[in-house]
Amino acid sequence: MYSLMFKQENAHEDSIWSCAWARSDQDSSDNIITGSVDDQVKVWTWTGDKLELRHELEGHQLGVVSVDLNASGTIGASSSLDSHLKLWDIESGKLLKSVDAGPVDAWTICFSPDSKYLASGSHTGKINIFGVESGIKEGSLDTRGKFTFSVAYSPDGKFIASGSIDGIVNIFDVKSGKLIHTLEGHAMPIRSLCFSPDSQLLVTASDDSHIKIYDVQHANLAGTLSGHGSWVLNVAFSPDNCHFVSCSSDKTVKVWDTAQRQCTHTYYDHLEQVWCAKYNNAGTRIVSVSDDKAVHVYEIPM
Amino acid sequence: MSGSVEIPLRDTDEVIELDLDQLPEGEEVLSILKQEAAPLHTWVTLALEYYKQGFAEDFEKILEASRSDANINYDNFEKDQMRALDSLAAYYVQQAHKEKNKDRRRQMFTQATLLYTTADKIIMYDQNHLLGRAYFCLLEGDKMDQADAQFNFVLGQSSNNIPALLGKACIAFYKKDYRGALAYYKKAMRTNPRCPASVRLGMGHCFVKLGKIEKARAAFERALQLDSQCVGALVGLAILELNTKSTESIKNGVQLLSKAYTIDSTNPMVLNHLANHFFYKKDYQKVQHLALHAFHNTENEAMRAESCYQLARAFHVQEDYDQAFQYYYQATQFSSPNFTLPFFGLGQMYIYRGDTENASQCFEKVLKAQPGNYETMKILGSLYANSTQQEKRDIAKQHLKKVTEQFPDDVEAWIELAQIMEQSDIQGALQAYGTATRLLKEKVEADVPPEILNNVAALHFRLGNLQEARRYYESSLERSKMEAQNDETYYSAISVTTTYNLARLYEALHEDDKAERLYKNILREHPNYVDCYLRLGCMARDRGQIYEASDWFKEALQINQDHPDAWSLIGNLHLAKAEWGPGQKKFERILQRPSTKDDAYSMIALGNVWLQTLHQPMRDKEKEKRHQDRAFAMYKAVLRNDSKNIWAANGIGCVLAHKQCINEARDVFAQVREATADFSDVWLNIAHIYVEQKQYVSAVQMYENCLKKFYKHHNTEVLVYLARAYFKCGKLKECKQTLLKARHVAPNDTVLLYNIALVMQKLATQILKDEKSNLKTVLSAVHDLELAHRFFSYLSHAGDKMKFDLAQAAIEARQCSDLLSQAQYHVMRARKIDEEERELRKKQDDEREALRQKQLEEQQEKLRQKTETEQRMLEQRAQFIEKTKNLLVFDHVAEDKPKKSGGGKRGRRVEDDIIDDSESDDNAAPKKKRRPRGSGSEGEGGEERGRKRVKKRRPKGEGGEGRKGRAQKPKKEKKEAVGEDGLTAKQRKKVVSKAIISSSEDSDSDKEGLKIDERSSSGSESGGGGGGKKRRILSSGSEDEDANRSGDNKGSGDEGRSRGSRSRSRSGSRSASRSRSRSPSGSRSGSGSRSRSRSRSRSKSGSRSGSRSPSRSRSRSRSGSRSQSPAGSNRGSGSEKEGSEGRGSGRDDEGSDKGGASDSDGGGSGKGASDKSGDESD
Repeated sequence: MYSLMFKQENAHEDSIWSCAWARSDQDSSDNIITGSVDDQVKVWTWTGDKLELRHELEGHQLGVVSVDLNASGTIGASSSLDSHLKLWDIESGKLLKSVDAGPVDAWTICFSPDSKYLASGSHTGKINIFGVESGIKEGSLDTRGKFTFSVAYSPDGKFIASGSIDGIVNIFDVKSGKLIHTLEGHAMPIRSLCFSPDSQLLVTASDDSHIKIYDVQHANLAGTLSGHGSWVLNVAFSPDNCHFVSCSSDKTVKVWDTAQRQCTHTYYDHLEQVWCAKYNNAGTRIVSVSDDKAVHVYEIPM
Repeated sequence: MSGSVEIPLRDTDEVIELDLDQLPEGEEVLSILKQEAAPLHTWVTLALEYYKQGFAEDFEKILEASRSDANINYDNFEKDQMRALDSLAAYYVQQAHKEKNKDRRRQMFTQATLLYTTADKIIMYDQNHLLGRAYFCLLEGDKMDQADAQFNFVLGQSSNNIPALLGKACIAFYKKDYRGALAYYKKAMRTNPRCPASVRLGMGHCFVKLGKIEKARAAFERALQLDSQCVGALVGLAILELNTKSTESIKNGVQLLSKAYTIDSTNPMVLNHLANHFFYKKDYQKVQHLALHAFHNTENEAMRAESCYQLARAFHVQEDYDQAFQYYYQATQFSSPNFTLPFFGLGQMYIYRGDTENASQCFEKVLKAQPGNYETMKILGSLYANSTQQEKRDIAKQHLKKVTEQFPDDVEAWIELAQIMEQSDIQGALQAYGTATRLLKEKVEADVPPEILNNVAALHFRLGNLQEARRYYESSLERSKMEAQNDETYYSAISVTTTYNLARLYEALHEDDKAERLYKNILREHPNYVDCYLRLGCMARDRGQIYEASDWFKEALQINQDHPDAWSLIGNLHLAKAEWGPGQKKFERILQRPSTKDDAYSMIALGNVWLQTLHQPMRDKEKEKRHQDRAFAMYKAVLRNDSKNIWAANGIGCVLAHKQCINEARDVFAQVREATADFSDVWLNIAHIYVEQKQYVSAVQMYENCLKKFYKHHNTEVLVYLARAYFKCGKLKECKQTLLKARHVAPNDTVLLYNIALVMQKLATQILKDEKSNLKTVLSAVHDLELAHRFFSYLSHAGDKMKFDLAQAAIEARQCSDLLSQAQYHVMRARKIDEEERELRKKQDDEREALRQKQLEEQQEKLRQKTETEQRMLEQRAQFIEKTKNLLVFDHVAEDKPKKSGGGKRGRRVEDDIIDDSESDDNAAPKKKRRPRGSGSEGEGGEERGRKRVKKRRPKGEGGEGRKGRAQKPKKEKKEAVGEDGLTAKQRKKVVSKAIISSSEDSDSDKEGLKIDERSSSGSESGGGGGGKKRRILSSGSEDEDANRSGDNKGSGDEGRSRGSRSRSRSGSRSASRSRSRSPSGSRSGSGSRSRSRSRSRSKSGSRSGSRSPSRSRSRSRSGSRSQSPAGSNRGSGSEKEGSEGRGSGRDDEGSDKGGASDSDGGGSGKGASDKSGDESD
């Protein structure tokens, strides 16, 4: 059954821009981390039927742009408009590291699959890679393009993909640091992209209301999906490798079937644009956050 | 009658006796009479005898001769003289009446008049004479009253005078007083029961008129008995027979008619009725022959009209429309206004000729004579429905509404009504279609034609019931597929249109992939379907793929070189990229084509281009004025053609705002806003005006509503406007949040960053200035300042040089660092307060703790006491508890109060401390003094700068602003900056050496700095500021155009703008252009109208079908209509019924005519792409 299971209203004081969901290996808790323009990062525990606030993490100064959890669900990362990255211990809620990325050199962040690195886009189009342990910039990949809006590691750790504000997608080989593909499918900002769990497909979400699916190996366009009525703000793959979720400024959250290239369900529950939606580890739930300050958890049939 | 006349012989007593049965030759008698100089009465008697026996000529001759040759030398000769004169005159009158030749007729009338006048001189009031005169008057036609008077006179003398009674009856009949006429006839009958057949005939007519058919029949039959040759009675009976409408009776009627025809083959009445009969026998040759014959045998205009009408009808049915037209026309010339049939026919002919103006006039005449006539209203309805004038369309609506009220089963009328309502009342139209479909299914048992399904779908589309719309489109397509077996080209054309509509629907549902597939499918079969190219282009444009879009538009131009939509879409692409020149050229090209020289869209677009140039600050006041005027002229030209064009009105509002006529501009915008709520630019403009008038709260509300209503996503431009309004009314926190949201969606925009830094700086300054701020806020303010500093210094080297002055960022950065250095003091202060507060709190906590301890002890004491005495315990305990409670409360309050006041005091004390400090330290005193001022100046400066910035920013926000403008503006700023810079540089040196601590010099320099700030700010206010404002309006102005035509214009301001809105406006655009070709007023329609226009063009086809399929059903409804179709004169009663049938057949033709007309219409308007493609596929 596709349904809205739980709604946490007024989860933050203002628009919520980002979220992530992972099960912690340490205490087996199912944690959701959310970041809002109210400068707060919150950690919630999903008890199976409701959300319990676990930590309120303060320290960011301008709105929190992006949050992520590492693979083991123990470390949370957040970035804010002031270009600071912060790493948090999920269990204790303690600040592990704070990284100053320079005035404008951090945007959306993502953990590498081995959780050793944190990648982030930047103003000049570079992808900066920060060491989780060291807390400093350890490398950067240059797209030679414009502002990098979104970054994604492939789950097999081989690739980093980035989406830029002018709609160009770049795929780098992590090992060599070389740019291997440039995809010019979109002409408008790509606010999000993600790889399939098997690292074969790359899904991109753009302001042109379309979602494109690429075959990573050959850099072929495998499909263009339309259905959203405004900017597509986020995409995230399901662990089952067959579905992915997208959310949009049109206030909807859509679940798509990758093979059919079709939308299988649309949630109309949010009152404002939905900035982020993510699956849980099992692929049975989706969490979404929106300008309406609410966090929604949806049930999805397997 | 046998007998003899004696002619007395002259001078003897002998007579010549003439046997009346064997009258000799007239000449012979005449010569005898002359010879014998017979007395006049003999002449007259003889003449009358001749007349009675049918020798009219002899009669005439004798009487003529009698006037000079008769012997009148006897008594009472005058009487005979009168008889002679009157008889002759009456004879002439009669002859004249029969005479068809006008000249001879007039001649005879003159003779008659002459005779009567002569007679007048002899005996004025002779009864017979008077009667003769009266009849003469009657026959002349226009002297009815005179005749009536004379009859009255005669009746006055002898009340039973039969001729007078008959005359009166005639007059009464003529005046439609049938009862009166009947009474006269009856009186005459009573007086003389053996009166001739014509009296019975008259009575018969009266009975018919009074609706007493049986009595009429009896009267006619009696007349026939009296006179078997009485044509009138035959015809009357025939009509009665025909009207009974059974086969048998019709046969009888026809027999009677033929009998009448054999009796009098020239009687036009008979001829016309026969013609009428043969019309239904479809023997049109005979109809023509008979009618023509009738026409030539009568002078009576009504008769002639009838004949012409019969002729015309025959030609009409034989599809010889030219001849038919001529005869109908003639008939209308002859006919009385009550004989409406020829007007009906003529109207149909006009429709055939495409002359709807005259056609509608004809039908108006019919309707005037027969108000509420259903057929006519229907036809008029459909004629007016296609009119360009709103009033006419309203009339059409009224007519059709009446029709549907009277005949709720008339599918055709329902469809027509629905089509008209499509333009104004979507719900109503849907209902009408619903009724029509229901009727079709239930009554006609026909399938609903695909056109109607398509139209219904289009209406649902417009109402936003997208799923519903899809269902209807799909079933329409299905129906077309089935119908295609019957008429392939027609239905495939319809299915193409429907497919196109479905594709539009998919676009609205955001299923672009499906839409694209459908468009491409259409193009595969109909490569000339221009609209598909345009839509594909628009979709590409909305995806940001400008080049692909351009390619599609050019593809469209390959098909049609002058397609105005394609050109304007390309023009909009240019404008979106701020390529004013090429964009302008495209629109000018459209206006150069004669067919599109009044294109409102292009004119507004050009106006917007001029307006756009005003956004760039211009040194040249002249030039600025010129551009304003040009823009103004463009908008005005549009308004002249269409006084309700909201885009033009909005443009005029913008120009007014540029001219600083804020109030006037506000009024204009308010009007536009009243006209439509779906036009985002006017919302923005109104909000701008609010800002200008310092009504910030309203402005904020307006901006927020606009954001909510028109944009799904965060629109950076509007967000920045909103932030500016917040900034201006001092709500810095909200301002900051707003800017952060803007930055979140457009992180690459350095101007946003600048603004954020500026607001943070201002906010921090405010917090630092506020000496009551607590440590936490102070610390975060310092943090903010640091960040602002960081941003400014980053911007000073990495900012977008095109958008703001980097040096200014550097200055701001220095400002921040200054503030930061001062911040230490604030932090110290705040920390001190904080520490003291904390200490105090600790103390209080301790005290409270002690108190509580004490209370606890007391309680324990009490407990102990309780244990001591159990009985007392209860009482005491209650008391104690109460007491202790009171105590507790009291204590708390007491504690709180001192705490607060203590805090306040402490704060004051701190101040004192500072003052003390400053007093103790001479240097510090100025410092302190300076600080407020400094901070004040900073504040002000900041504000000013902020304002300036924000303003500047706005233009920047547009992105598209001309380079020139930018080049100019920075120059100005640079100057200011240099001044400031110089000062601050100097100052800085000093400051550095003196470690911020001020000197009088510094404060002076600060003042100067402040002044400069003020100046610059005021400069920006008056010049740049106004400009900024204008610019804003400008930009919105530019948007307005897009909204108007195609969303692409929207892009004109800035590329990043308005995806969603674009698509919307695009559709709007379409409609505008569409409606342009159709009806200028349509452009008002706004968004979504694309579908409408489509539906409209389609609706034409719909009407076609409508007139087709229902025509089947019409035959049925006809029977109803028969009874009320226009009736002619008394004889018309028969013709009525058949007439309506004839009309019916005519109407069929007309229906197909209409279809043809609409075809050409569609082609002409250039919009009926479907029609066109259909033709091509033909």
